[in-house]
Amino acid sequence: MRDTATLIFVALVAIAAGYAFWFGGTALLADSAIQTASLTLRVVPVLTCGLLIGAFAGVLMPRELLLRWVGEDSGFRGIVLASIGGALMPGGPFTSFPLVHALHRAGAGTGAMVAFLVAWAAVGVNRLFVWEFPFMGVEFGLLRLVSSLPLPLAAGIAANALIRRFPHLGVPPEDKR
Amino acid sequence: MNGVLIFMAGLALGLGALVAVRQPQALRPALRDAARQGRTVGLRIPLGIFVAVVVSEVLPSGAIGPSIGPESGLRGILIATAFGAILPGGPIVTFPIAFTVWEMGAGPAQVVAFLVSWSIFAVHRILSFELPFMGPRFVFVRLLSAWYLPPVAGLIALALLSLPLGL
Repeated sequence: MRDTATLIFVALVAIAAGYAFWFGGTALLADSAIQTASLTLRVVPVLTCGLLIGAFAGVLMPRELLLRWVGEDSGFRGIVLASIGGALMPGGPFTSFPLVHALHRAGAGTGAMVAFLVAWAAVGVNRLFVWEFPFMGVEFGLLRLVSSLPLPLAAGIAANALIRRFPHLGVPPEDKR
Repeated sequence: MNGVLIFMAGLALGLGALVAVRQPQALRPALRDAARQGRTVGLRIPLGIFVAVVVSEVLPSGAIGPSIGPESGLRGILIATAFGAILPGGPIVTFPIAFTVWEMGAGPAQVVAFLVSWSIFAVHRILSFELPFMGPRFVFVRLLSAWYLPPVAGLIALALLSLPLGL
């Protein structure tokens, strides 16, 4: 999996380099390399701090408490708490999907889990530190954060309404492998 | 940029100290975890940035402005949403592209819609994580509950930008 991803990256870079050479010769190729180096140097220190923040926040996250709060019939309160948990959840898909899967199997409501995943993906406080601040700056990062705050609530409410209206959409126990 | 770095370094130190005091046995695994992630990401970041830089050099800079510039309004937000939805790949590809598009004159509300759309539809993540972990029915319910959110975020950003906050 990791090797495939690296190969795809190397292939993309080869295509980009070939295209740059064909388009603007060695001058454009060298210019692109210099721009890449300067942007990389700008991003890496902030990114390092972001990775540390994510790792430490992962240790401090109270997982058991979260499980108690987002049970099957937790309704809107569960959606709110799941949104907060998802927004603060650090780490990539490697850490959050196993957690969501475990929560769902342990009886968390579908609306709450939809809210958790949308909050993790779209609000993603951790991503703010690792990616948005280094690449886009603080101002833009905060604009993006505030604009996406209501989204997990809307998604969680919509998911619960959908399941109430069309009960066969609800995930049956045998699907919760 | 230096302000960001100072803030982030302070937060990292503060959280690290909190971990060291509360759960000292977890400090070393956490550092190892960050280092492992850093190795994976660190190798690919320059590659992702290089691709984005070449794209920005080759694309005519006038192409971005009219379609998703600050004046493009709701139409730009919808175009940005469509782009974000079809973009395959993780943050290592997405953020250099977002940065490049931003430098080329995309509007902030449009970039918000692009990033939110990418984070909600993320094709690669649905295929490699959400389907195997949560099953097709859950993915269906989630997409049905969330597909309209990127333009909503874009419109909220547009509204925030029109407030006199100095953004």
